[in-house]
Amino acid sequence: MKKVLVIDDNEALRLELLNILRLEGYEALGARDGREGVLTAQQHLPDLIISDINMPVLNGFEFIVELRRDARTEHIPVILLSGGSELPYGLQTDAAGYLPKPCTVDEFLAAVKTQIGD
Amino acid sequence: MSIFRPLRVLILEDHAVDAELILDELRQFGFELKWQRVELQEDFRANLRDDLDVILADYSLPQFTAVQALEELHEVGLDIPFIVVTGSISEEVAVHCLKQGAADYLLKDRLARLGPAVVNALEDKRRRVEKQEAEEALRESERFARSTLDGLAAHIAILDETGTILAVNRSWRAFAKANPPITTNVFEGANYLGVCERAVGPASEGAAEFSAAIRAVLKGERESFEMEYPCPSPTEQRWFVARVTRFPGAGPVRVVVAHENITRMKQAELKLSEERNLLRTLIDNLPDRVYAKDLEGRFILKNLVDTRQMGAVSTDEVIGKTDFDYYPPELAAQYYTDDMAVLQSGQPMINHEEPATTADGATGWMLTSKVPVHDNEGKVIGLVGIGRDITERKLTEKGLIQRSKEIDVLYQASQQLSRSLDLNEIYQIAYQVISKIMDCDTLFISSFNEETQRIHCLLGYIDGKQIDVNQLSPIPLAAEGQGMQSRVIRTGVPLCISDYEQELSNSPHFYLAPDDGSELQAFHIPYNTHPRSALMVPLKYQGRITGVLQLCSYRLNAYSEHDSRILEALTNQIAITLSNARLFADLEAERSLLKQRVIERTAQLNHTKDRIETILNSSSDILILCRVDGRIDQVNPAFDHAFQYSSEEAYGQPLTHLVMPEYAAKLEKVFASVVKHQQPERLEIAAQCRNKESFEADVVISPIVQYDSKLIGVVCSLRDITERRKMEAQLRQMLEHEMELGELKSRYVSMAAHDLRNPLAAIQTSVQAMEKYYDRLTPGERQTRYENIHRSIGDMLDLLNDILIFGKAGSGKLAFEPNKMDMIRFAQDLVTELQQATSSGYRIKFTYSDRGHTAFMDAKLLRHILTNLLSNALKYSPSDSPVTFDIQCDEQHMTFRIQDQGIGIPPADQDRLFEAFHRATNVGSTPGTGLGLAIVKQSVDLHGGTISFESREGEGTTFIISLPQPLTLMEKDV
Repeated sequence: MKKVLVIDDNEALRLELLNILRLEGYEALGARDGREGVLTAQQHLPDLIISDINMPVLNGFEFIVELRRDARTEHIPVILLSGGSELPYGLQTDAAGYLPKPCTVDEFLAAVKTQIGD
Repeated sequence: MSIFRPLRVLILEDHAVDAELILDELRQFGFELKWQRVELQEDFRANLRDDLDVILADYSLPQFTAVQALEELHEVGLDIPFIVVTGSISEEVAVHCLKQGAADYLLKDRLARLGPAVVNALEDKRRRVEKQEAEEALRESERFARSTLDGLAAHIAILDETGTILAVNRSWRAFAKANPPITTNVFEGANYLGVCERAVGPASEGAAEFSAAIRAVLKGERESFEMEYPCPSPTEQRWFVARVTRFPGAGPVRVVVAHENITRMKQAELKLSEERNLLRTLIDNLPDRVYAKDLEGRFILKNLVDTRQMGAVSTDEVIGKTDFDYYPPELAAQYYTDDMAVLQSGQPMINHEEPATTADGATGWMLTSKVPVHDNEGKVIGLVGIGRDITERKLTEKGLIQRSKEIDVLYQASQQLSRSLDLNEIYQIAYQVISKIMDCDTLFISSFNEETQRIHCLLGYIDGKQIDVNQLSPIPLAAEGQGMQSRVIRTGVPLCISDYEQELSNSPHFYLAPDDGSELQAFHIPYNTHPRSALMVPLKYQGRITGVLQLCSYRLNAYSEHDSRILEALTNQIAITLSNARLFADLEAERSLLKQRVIERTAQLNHTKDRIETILNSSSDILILCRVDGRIDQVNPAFDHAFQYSSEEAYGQPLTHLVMPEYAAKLEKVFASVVKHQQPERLEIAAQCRNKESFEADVVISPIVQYDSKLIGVVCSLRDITERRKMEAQLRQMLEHEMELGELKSRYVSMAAHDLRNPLAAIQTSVQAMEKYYDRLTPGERQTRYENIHRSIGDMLDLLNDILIFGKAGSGKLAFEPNKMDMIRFAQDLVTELQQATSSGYRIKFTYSDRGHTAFMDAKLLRHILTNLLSNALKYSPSDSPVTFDIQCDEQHMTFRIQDQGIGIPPADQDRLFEAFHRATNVGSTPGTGLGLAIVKQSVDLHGGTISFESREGEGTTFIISLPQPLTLMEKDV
């Protein structure tokens, strides 16, 4: 089963995304901020990470930098959830993709499937 | 002799007369003859047949002799009595003939002996044949016995009376060879009893018993015996049966010992018994009822569950009985009918839901399957039944269908409500939704006006028709404990009235209007409806009760606790939608206000521009005509006005006198350049008036060239640009201000949009997940989503509220309206409110100085300040740590101190603490809008007060607010 890590400080959204991923047959893990996201990624080595940008402690961009520092996690693709205004900065990181926020469930799933398949 | 015995005779005789004599003799003796006479060897041989009874031969014939005939007979291999009948014969010849195989001999002259001789010969032959046959039979019998024994799989030994082995069969031999340790020396001649008695090891006991049993059989104490015994081998556990049987009848004592390998049978038996045990354990431990019935419906098997459910003590008790012995007659009859259908059709009845009763008399539902049981020939011999108690499931299903309907309706309602901002439409939706899921014979929505203490009917439906509520006068709030609507408004708790009539008899039917004393009818009186039960729930907005929703039914007990909860959820939804509608209306107003302001500013700018233009237009340029040497020749009136020189005074003066000394050189240089190149040039200078005042001027110096290109003079056109400069500066400033305003606005809009996006994304995702996976979600999971959506909507509302307040402050609309107030009472109420709002609110320790409680402040702003700071202190500190809140007053100031032992504010965030939308980096997942402290700061500023704080990360934060307190002034005024 493919493993997906979702990082978002908005608990309602994060839990819902995790539920949707589980309903679609993925193993889904959640983290509340970038720091927690890095630790979870190192521990569970997910196949894909979906991260919010605007978060406390470590934001989405800082999170990617941290993630790429570790050889175990440097290759994991990251899709950033973007409220829109952060995008110009985001384009300079090596995120695998961007999803607008809010996006539809179908867009979300399509982005996940593009990265790691069903 | 009167016996005629048929006799076939071959007679070897050359004399026919002799032959006739011999035959006559035989006839007379009683034989009935069939005969043939021959003389020659060839004829003799040709007539030799095995049906001949006797051969009579003359001893000597012309071409043949009796001895030759005997030889011939032997050669052919036939056993036919041969009697020599001769005229004379010597003793030696006779002996020779007998030796050659003749049966007898006699003389022709003594024929009387012939008959008995033939009879003897025939008798001899008969005996001979019998003996041969007996010997053959014995041989066959032996062969039969031997083969049979060897053909048997059992290991068989025959013992004599001493127990010595006389014979063993092939299986015995093979087994003995294959198992030497067990069966050493057990072949013919060995004493089997000795072998058994000498056995050692684990099998010795069995062997001794066996030996004793054989002895008993040998002694004739018993005819036979049989015993089973285990016979382990290195590879398997084997089982044998030994049978010892005594030979029957007379003769020496013999016994047969037969060992037979029954391992397979034994294993099958063990397996069968294990399986039977397993099956029994299985069916006894099944939660389902399991039973088997015969063709007459009698129980032949029952498991424990079924036995117990029937109220029987033991399974044995019910065997042989029928359903009629245990169940009510109709139920038993139904079961019997089903049983017979299965038994007669041979078709199983699968998953049939049927009513059931249990021993304690409870009725319920069973899911029953009955399957026919066939014998080997395919004939139905009974049935097996399995019944599962599905009573619980049936009840749950019923409940679930109802719940699912309610959730569907609520879901639709929430969707419809979220789309609507129109008040009337919201009410319509509410009516439609409620009437779908509960009795709704009448429905009234009324609002409560706190100021007038009256209840106004907003909407009414009776029997599905909307009524004109304007006909209904508002009614005053009834006294404590009276009036159903009033009770709901006072307590904020839903009221479920199961018997409306009775309730009415306890409540006043009429209310006296305080104004004119006329009687007003309560809502339930008009239209002569007679409801029997009612449900009333409060409408709440931001914790305050704003009205009542009242439902009535013509039935008694129409509403349950569950209905009340659903209705409450729905009214909350309505309240949220209503407040949403209000907030959006406010936002809309705010937006149009900003737009209006921009229009006003633009108009202002245009006005300023007009003024500049007017000035420029009305004051014509200063024009100075100079000679080529740079002396003034002529000036215009504007010059007089500007420089305060008269035209006469200016005449002949060098142009350079009109400028500040530092510009003189520049002016001379440009003037010379114009004279030289005859091209106009422009420069800016500071002009100097007669009174030494200066002004900035824009100067254009143009040559005056005659038609023949001769330079006859120079014209200087001066424009006072002081005013223009000022205007420009003013304009620039205004533009900057406008830009700042615009930037601020767009920043807030973008931040608000960004922060609204999070709950919005959560709502959208939850709603879509609900649409996409609705069928796969359990009712509990759906409920979780509704709660998430509610929570997210709540977050949005909080944010919108804060934005509104903050927006008002930013646009100067948050007015400072101080009033005289009792500060301690105000603060006390606030603390109580917070304590009720959150369970952790009881941590607030409120202290205050004992004087100067009266303040002259804006209660609304103060509420923003204290609510934000206190709820922050609660939010960002452990739930068991205290929060202290202290108010101190002196002559000039009132000081508020709010202290917590929470997470503190990191130094890096302290500078930007009061910035809108800025949140400290250590807030984690604690919810917040980032506007609270900005609102606090603005509110403090409006009071002309100060706010400061001390904070250490991980130790806590203290906020100190000091507000000026013109108490003494105020008291003087009073």
